[in-house]
Amino acid sequence: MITITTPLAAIGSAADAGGAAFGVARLALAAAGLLFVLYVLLLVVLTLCARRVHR
Amino acid sequence: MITVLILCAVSGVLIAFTYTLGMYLESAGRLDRPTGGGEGFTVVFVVPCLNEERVIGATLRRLIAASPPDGLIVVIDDGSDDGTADLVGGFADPRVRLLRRVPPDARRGKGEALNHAVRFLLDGGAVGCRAPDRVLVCLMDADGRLDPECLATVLPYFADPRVGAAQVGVRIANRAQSTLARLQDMEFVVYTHLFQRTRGRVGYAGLGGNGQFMRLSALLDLGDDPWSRSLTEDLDLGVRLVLAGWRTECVWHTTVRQQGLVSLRALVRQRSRWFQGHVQAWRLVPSVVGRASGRVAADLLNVLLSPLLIFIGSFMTMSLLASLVGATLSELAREQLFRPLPIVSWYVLTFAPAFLLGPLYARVSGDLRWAGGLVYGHLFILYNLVWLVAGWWGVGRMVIGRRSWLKTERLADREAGTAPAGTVPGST
Repeated sequence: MITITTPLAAIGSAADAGGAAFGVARLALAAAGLLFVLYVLLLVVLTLCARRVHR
Repeated sequence: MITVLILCAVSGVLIAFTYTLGMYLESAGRLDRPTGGGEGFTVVFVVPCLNEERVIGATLRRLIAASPPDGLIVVIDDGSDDGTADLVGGFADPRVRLLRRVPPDARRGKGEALNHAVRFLLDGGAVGCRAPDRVLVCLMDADGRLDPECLATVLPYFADPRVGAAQVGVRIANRAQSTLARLQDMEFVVYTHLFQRTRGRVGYAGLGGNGQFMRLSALLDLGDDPWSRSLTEDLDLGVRLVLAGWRTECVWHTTVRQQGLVSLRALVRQRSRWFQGHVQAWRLVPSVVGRASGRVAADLLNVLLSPLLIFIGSFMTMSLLASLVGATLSELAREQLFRPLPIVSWYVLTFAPAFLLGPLYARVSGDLRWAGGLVYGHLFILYNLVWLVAGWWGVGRMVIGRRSWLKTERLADREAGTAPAGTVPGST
């Protein structure tokens, strides 16, 4: 149940929220890294396929 | 594991910068321009129009002045409901031909309108008995303004029979009007001077739809309807010409000027159309794998698949925003984050390209000093966030199945006016 003091409690735990936000930041950056690796792999595989077709 | 992936993301930024720097170094200082040998070509300007009364008058006057006596200017009115057709019909010059498309054939995309023009050239006898390899079709936007020496610069490229198409550089005519227009100008200059020049040297420059010269025989090589129905039919055409064995050149030392958008919303809308068209072009990936090889295959695949990069950019932006939220909420985090090393690292990873692109733009534009270029270089990095918004908008449109042509609105043209009085040529 949300009471009138809930927002104040949230402000009080700002340090925890800050930690959570940094966790999200790390995860988002890791996701970007994973997608980059997948993108490069896709390019490399397709380029190798093109090379194989033309042999 | 997460740390390794974060390092991969950082590597991605460094690799993207290295790729850009490599392209720059490869193109810098090389002229590679043919001289002479551009005689004997018939030039046909093709101008597709949909509600272009604000700009078409001035465009036609300039094309008439630039067109050789045996040239042709074909305006395709694709179902306009403004005064475009009347304005074009008022031009007495026999080189100006108006093709009118009416519903249900009209407004089915720019590619359909351009295919109509090709059929007119072939079936209507507009190019007479001239050999298709001696006929050059120049595609122009209704707001396009070619440099006066453009034809003399471009035609020699086609003396090489392997050349199927050439794209001139693009500049924004109203770049002094707003910062947004200036950044679009920078975008075209950077694209032309970093990527197009290098790709043109190898023979696979991209085509942009404005100031785009094509050999008629190359177009016919692609079938009866050379243009696809894609939202970026110019991208499709360029890739298909390369796959058909033609060279596509970049003629960077002459330009076509076009209007830039001064509204952020209109810009995002335009870029969402480009994004969606780019995704439609993924159907060409199997053809690239089957018919290209080596560097051409790798770079064409990179160009075609580049819409995927918005997901990477989105996660990086999300990471930055979450970090700022974290720093706002936590004093400990602020102490850790707002120290010289993290700030300098973030700045270098984010804004290093500004020190390459800014001075390049200042040098090419001719109306900016080095320091001004550096400022625009930084703004340009932020400007690229437009692509993230446009990309997600495009994804949304694809999810709900919308593929209609979101046409760019023109601004009023100071040079525009009524056509000179005279006889009215026949409409087709």
